[in-house]
Amino acid sequence: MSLRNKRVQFNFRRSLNRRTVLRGGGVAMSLPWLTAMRESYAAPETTKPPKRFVAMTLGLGLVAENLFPENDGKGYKPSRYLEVLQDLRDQITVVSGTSHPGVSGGHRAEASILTATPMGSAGRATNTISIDQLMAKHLGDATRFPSLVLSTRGSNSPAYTDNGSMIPPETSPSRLFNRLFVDDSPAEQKRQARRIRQGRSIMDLVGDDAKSLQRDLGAADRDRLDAYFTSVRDLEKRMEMSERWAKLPKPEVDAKAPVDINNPNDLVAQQKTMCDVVRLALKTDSTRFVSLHLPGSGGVLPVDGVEEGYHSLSHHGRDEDKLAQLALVEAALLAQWGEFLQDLRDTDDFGNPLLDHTTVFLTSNLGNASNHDNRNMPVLLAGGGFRHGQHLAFDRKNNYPLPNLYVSVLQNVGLEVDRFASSTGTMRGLEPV
Amino acid sequence: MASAISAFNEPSAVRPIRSVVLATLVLAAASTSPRAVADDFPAGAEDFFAFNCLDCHSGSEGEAGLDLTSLGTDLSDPQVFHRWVRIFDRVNDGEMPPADYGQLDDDEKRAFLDGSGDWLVHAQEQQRERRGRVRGRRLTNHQLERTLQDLLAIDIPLATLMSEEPRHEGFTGIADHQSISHFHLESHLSVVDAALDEAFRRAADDGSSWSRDYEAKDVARSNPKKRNRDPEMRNGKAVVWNSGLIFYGRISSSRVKESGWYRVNFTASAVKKPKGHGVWCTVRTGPCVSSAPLLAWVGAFEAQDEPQDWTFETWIPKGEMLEIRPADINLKRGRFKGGQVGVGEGEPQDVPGLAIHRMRMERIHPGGTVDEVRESLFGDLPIKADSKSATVAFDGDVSADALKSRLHQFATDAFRRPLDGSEFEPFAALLQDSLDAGVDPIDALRSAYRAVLCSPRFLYFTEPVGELDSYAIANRLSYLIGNSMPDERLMTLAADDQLRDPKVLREQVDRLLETDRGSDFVRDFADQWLDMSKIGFTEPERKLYRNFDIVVQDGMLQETLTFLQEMLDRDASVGQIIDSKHTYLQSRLARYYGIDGVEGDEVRKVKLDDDSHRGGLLAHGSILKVTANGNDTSPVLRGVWVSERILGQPIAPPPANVPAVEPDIRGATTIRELLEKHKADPSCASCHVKIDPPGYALENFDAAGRWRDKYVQMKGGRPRPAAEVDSSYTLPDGRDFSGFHEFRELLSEDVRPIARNVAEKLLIYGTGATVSFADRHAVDGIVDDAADQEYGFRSLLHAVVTSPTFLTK
Repeated sequence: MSLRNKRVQFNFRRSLNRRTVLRGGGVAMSLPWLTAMRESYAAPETTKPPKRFVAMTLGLGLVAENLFPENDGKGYKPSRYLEVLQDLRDQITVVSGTSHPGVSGGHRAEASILTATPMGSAGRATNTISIDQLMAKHLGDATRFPSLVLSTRGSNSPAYTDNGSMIPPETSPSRLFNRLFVDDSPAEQKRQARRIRQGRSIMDLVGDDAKSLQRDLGAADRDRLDAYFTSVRDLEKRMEMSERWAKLPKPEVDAKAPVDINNPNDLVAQQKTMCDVVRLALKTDSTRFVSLHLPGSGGVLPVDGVEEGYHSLSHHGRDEDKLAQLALVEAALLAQWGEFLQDLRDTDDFGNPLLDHTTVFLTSNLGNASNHDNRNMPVLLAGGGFRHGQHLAFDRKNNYPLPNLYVSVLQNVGLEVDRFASSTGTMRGLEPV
Repeated sequence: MASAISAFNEPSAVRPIRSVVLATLVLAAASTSPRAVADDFPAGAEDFFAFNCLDCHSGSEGEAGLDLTSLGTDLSDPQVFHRWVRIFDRVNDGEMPPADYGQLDDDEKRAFLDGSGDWLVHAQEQQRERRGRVRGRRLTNHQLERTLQDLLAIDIPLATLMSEEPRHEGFTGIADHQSISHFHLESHLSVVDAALDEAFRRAADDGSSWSRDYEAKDVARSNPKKRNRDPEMRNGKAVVWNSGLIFYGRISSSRVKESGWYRVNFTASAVKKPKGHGVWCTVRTGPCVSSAPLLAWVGAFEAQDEPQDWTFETWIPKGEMLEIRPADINLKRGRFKGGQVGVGEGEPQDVPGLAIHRMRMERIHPGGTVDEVRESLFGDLPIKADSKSATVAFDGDVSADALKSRLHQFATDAFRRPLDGSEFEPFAALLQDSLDAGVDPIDALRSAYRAVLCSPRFLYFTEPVGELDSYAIANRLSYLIGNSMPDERLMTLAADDQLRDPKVLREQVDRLLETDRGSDFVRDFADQWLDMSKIGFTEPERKLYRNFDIVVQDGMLQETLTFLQEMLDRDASVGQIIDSKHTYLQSRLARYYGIDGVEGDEVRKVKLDDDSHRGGLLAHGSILKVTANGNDTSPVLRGVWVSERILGQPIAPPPANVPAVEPDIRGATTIRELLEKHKADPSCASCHVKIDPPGYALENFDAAGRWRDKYVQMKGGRPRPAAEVDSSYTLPDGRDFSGFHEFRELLSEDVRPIARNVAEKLLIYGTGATVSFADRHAVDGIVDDAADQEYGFRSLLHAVVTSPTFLTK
């Protein structure tokens, strides 16, 4: 299956009209640069292109023997799934023998994909911040959307805030497109602005109210009310930012709003539609940090040769027929992932391929969906300025900590951290260019 | 579990005094660990560890990841505390030290359990004196929805706008597992806006209601020449034939112009009725176009030759319509070309059908009348409504003081307790600011309401440390029974400080169970406790489960809910959960179970034969379905579920380094063989000794709740009988059972653990905190209270509500 067929071509304006931006008046100057504007302001060579990160997470894993090559290093022989990604061989690293230390619980570990925090053991009540949100927290101010949390369906995402609460995902590509690129009518903008202003004064009030309630109730509920208070302050900050961004027009793109995929089982088409909007969001620097979850569904994917539901196939129990059908589904998902990489490679960003500045990560909490094993997670890393083209093979019996990869990626986007969750360092063998 | 408590409450036996010369002294190993040993750490425990545990549990390579030399004694760390409770339980249950390590001396064991039990309880109680047992509990999605509905007299669904909340042991309202972020708050703000939008919209309504009477020809398709999926006219009735076609039976003329609640009443009869039973049909709603295939469940009925009337009430979103059709998977299906049905094409195929004689649709407002909505928003302030522009305005001048006192009343209702001046001040100031800025008084009031509904006093339970005050009790009670705010009667009793009286509390439980909200108690509780909300989560594969359909599934849910409701209403013993001589069925489920002589589409009490496989919750199709994995069953999954949810035996998650058993459905090995191999490892065996008995006992029930003597295997795309089911096993105490029937009998011998579990689950559900080590004694007290009533369900509920644990933060 070729990666190039059925691509949707989006055309961009070379840069935003400068006057469009200056309409915002003095406010514009206090805002960080928009990539799309940058060409009008600064010579590309004087500005460092921003680093982006896209995490794609799968709910049902990938069959290990179809993914991991037999031999390691640069000269690895492509596995069945990697075969379709060979056009991009020098842009991809495949990693085997890694997982999150202490994380178990099968599907429950979905909550830990990007946080690496064990949720299975009792006593631990809450999750911790996910890698994409950690980036958004420190670097997200630069864009209209600090991060995008997306899923093809359902209400779960692997993105968690500082205090461990899950961020509900956007599941509609058309709604996402509208939020990114379509300005509201002036009347609606006014109404929104009024509600936001009112919302800010309400937040101010209830923030104080939380403090006074805390005094009434004493120390007992302090932690909980502190979390509430922090949420209030965070929302206030977000509203303040929204108010400022609301005064700037959204970037224009020469692309129509996508049509949402109606077939709830067509995971591949949903993935593609969402990825197309993600690419636009990255290109226009509307956001720099994206997570896209692809949950497993019970339904039958419309892929030739597939007759059984995806979830049921994932419990293949070594049945050959099921394994064959499952391989068709997973190969289609990976081919789509490859297509997304190709798109980023073909998109210009400061005279270089956008892929060079975008780390694209693919993984799943399940190393083996058939028995809900959380070890030996499937891991693919592409772009972002790492030395790729290799298979990093770690011990499949005694796994290497995957959080080390997260530290490498965090450093890559410009965060000075040397630890993430249970990491022990940066990932061995993964070097920046 | 009861013995665990007595173990450390009885006067302690003589502590063995042994001088230990072992060099590795555990917790005192200060040279390797900076942790100090707590002052109150039980004397002798270190010796106990040195003799019995350290061989395996020391150092970073300690068995099951337990390293006693580094665990420490800081019980304020929840992880450390949890670990110690595990250690206590495993010694107490005789699981550790392992049998092959040598028998533990009884006195030695008792002394250790006494000492460490006291130590753990003391630590937890000390913490609670300062901070209480439940800290910062927030309304769940469900509770928030109902509270907003009751506060504003509205009825629109709101929970669908909220993000999913985490469950712990099935429960959503556990304070320690609730989290909040600005995303939640932002979404909360939009929920509040949706509720206020609806209330203000309703307030402007002129109160007229919509209804439409349909003759049969109005139910049928308007153009008989067209092939489509609407009913056709046949002998003066609107007829739908039995078929697998999606949306066939949609009634295009029932498409609603406004989202809302509708009462649907119709007269219908069967066409070409099969022998022995009527034509089971479903009522559903949906857009009924191929781009939006989802349908929402409304209900089911069984049409007979004689016409009968049925009434359903349901929420229908704007633009959606009814679908009423035969839905019995066992009936012969009509075949229609190209996915459309032409008039007369079903007749010659000799398939059963449904005939609708007439229908009436009526818009209803179960949340409250227009007057009630207005009252909730404006009290007795005079207003004039204009339904054309959908606006309300005050009729004449309303003073700022009058508005302020209205806001005060609204905030009191929303916060569910009286307000003193200082708490109210900021809200009053917000209102005054708006009025000063020249904002329309209605808008000013509305924005103040918005602030009230975002306040933590609305979102959280206000429970000061120590004994709860009357208002906090009223809240706990009201949310336990009805998942909504206290009603007027409860607030009056709170104001009179009557709610500390156990007699009054019991009366109020009984009264609340009879209210609208209270009538949902069983359903709400079972949704979480028994995962009933997940009954539709999987759809058994048609090829493997030929007789299963959505009407059967609904029958299963009704069976369980009716069973529990009757148990509650009659105060019947919760021992019936394990074994019962009766169950509740409608005719479709009875046919599915293979039970003869049950007629009609209403669930009724059915007496079971002595040799029946049914009887007791464990043999309910609903339970068997939610504990299965879609198309297959796993004794491990079911075993863990039954242990935790029914038997009250928490199962620790598997150690991190143990791979799960990989099922092999090719039939080379049975799950039993695989599990036996897995169990050869002692660290697996210690938990599987508890998990496996209920798991194996239920092996005779398949994933769709049917009884099976043989497993079924797919061969060449068809199901074929495979290996025989072996459901014999051994209970942890060594007693053998030959299968499900004997298992049930053995468990029925002692009802107390079952009662204990129900009490625990009610306590968790009703207070928002899990039952921890220090609560074990209190739970024993609750169960004792209900012992004289043979552990009746209602008696247990009464005992929970009147227990000190329920009445203390």
